[in-house]
Amino acid sequence: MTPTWPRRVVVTGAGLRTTLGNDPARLFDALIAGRSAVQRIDDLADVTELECHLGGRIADFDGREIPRKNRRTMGRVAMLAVTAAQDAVAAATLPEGLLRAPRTGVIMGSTMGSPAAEQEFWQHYVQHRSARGLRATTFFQIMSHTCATNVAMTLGTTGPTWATNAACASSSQAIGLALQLIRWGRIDRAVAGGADELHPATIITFDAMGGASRSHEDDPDQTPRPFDAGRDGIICSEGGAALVLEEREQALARGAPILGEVLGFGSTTDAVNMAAPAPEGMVAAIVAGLEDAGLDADAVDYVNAHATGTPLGDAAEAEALHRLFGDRVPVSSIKGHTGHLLGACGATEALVCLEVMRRGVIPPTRNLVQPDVAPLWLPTQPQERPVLVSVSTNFAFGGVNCALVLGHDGPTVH
Amino acid sequence: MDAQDVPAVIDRILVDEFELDAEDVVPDARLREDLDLDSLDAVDMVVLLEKNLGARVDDKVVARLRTVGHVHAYVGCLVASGPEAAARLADEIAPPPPEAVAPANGTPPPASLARDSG
Repeated sequence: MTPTWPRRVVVTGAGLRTTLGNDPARLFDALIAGRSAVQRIDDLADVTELECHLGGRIADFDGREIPRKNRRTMGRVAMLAVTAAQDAVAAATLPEGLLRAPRTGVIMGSTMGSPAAEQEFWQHYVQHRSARGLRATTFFQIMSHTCATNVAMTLGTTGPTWATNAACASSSQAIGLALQLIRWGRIDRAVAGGADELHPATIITFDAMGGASRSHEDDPDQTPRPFDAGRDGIICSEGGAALVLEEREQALARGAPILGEVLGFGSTTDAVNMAAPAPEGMVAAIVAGLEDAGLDADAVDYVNAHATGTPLGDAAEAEALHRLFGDRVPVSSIKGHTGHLLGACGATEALVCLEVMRRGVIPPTRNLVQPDVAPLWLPTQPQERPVLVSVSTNFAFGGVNCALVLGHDGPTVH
Repeated sequence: MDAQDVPAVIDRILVDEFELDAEDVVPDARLREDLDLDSLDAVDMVVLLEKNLGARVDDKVVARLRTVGHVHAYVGCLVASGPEAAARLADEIAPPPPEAVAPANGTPPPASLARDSG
């Protein structure tokens, strides 16, 4: 078959581990039902000077479904990545021969390696200053590409492995990179996504810089509050999310399930302030993504916003979305339900977009009572409407702005 | 700890930390062939043994041991009689591998946990 360039890229499998469900349908049902994942985290009770004691923790997850020989090199973050990746590959009905082919890549990211493993390492080193007494496997859990390598090792892939470690943009970048590599023929398919584990260190970090929500210690489900006038910061959560992406013609030829299409990816950098976002860069990222998809802003039917519940971040994003879409396009953030999944949020939110397009239902933003941002259409109830094109935004520390453009059943754009 | 407690401690480590079935952890069980342990596990075993015993274990010796019974014997001797006696015992029960010696009956000896390329 003579290839058509650039090639189209479809999603054929999805895997998730989140506080609100371990597959996209269950997560989506929880969003529509208005469930919250936020709870008090007991580990934090004895941390002094900490004002946020809330987070999202996945109950009953210990990764034991992964064989020990694979699992011993994994901290919790890698286990979340691997279990999600395994589910995605199974859902894609990807034959082993294709999974292990040289033209199948693995692209996974996280904010960092396992903070729990790092804690073990540093406790030992600071206390003993000795090379003795450390497990052989600790470093594999700590190293920054632990998700990517453990996914590759467990799946047995032989193609390229990439680690897109960029905090909140990690899994968005993973999908964006997979899109480019498949589109331009470097590989034919990829497992792409990301993960992060909940650890006191992450909550403490955000709290120390004044970014964590502090006002709802007694009513945890009332935070975070994306776009709401009462928003006061982030709630950290954890999860793993993975997509199988394939070149469209090959996916169709093997009878793969088609969950949607990745139409475009845009990325810009603010280069202004490591922590404070600017609307201009966000606009530019979304515009770049749309150009990459060959679409105008008026083709977009839904935006899944990054909106984490911070006063500045949500305001900047709302301004950016207002400039591009006015109040024509419904916008929602799922972080009011899930908290911030950090490295897993890009892939999780992309999967939510696919589910939005599949069902024709838009989830509302939880805890949004009174928006005080630039005028947008911000549904507070589920909205039934057809969605053919959605945009998913993710903005990370360091001014890393990402926008994914996703399509339902692949409208012809190239 | 008493030397007589050592086998039970070792067996508990193997079952709990290496997730083995208790019924498979018998003195004759070969660490590599039967219990599927490898050189990474050997390093972790040393860490766990030292943590549980509060005594220094020779990691080069542990890497040579081939069966659960070897581990019982070496560590039991270490606790009862000290490192030198234990090293001598290890030399008897699990000598360093000779250079390419083929046993008379053609069956290769059980492999140790030293270096997975071997």
